[in-house]
Amino acid sequence: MKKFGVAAFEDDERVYNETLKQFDKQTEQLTEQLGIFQEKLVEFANRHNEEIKSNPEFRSKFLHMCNTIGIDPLNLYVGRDKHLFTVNDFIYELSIKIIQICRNTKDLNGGLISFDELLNTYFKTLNITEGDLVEAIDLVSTLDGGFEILKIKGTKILRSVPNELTNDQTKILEVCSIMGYASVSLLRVNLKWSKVRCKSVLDEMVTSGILWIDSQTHQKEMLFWDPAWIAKSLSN
Amino acid sequence: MTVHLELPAIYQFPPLFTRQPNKSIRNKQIETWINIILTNCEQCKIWTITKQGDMKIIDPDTQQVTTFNIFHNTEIDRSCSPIFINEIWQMMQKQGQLLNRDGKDLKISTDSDELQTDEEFYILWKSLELWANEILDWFERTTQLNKVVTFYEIVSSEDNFNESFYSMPEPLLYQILKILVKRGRATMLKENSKYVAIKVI
Repeated sequence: MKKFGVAAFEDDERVYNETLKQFDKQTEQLTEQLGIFQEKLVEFANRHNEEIKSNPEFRSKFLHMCNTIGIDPLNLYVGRDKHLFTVNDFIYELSIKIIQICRNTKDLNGGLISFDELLNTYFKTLNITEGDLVEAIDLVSTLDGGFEILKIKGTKILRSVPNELTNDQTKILEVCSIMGYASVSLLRVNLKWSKVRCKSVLDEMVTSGILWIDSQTHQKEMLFWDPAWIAKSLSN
Repeated sequence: MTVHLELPAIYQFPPLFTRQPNKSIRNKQIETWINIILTNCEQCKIWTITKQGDMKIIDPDTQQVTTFNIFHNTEIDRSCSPIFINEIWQMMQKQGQLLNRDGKDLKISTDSDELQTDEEFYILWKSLELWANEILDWFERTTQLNKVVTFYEIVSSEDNFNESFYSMPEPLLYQILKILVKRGRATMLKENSKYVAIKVI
């Protein structure tokens, strides 16, 4: 029966709710199907491993497919710990991962991330060595994105933003690597810098997001913290 | 304290408690704070938080209540300033993760340095819409359609102990159920001029 006035919308409401329910059901089914498909894909990859390795066209299509459906090719193994791909592809995938991590954490650490943090927090579950990282970063550095490996007090740090660190900034990061933070008085005593120099370099590093300020100390002096401290406190 | 809050490593990072001057860093900082609040509230089923950041944590075994201020880390002796806390509330409100007790928009001013003591917010680790869907799903799943069900039954009945909305404060439930009424799926019933029950069709 046809309804008139406001009552006519009641049916619409019911139809709307039913469609909503159907959508939910469909999503559920699709998720399930996708799960099965992913399983099959890994099976397929294992079976055709040799061909994936030897045929570049097939390989790129396969990788593309993996990406589309949300499978991490780094997680595909042949056997227990042998990766599916030959070393080059592996490094290639790794370098993409590194770029992603740097992008995601850029606002937190100003584009500086230590190798320890990469290995201990992000690549903890994967069998990745420092050598792999160096190789992967080498690969992306050809892209001119400003990726560079720095050495501060013996620890390797990856810089992913194109602005060059000055000598003074590097010195401050060295101080931070010991205490976790730096301050004007700390720099004056240890590096014999003038007050103005300490202040201006520190402020500059806050502006570029490399250091975080902490104004709640008992010494009544501003402390400047290196966010790398967060990852370090995890491993201690 | 017997209740375990899961506080990430960054919670021990002293500058997290000082408002950062760099804007993109500060956004990340606020995002970090919101994450800490939402994860812990969800894990311990903490529904309300005061404007200062006080949360009541109830020990599931002893029922003992401890008050914990999320914005004050006694271990490292750092706390967030009222201005910064307000900034966090504002962002949460914008993202629909915070609700005033009466369901109205909060009046948060960034200029004011003081926080009134009596104000309390609901923390929404799921959006109101999502909660509404989950409760509707429960009505359908447990064949409670076309029956009058009291608010008390929904959130306090022992049968619902394992439901995500168990122990939810009734005024918050009321805000969520209003969505179902708006969708035309339910009518609410009053007792002594206060809504106390709902019928979902």
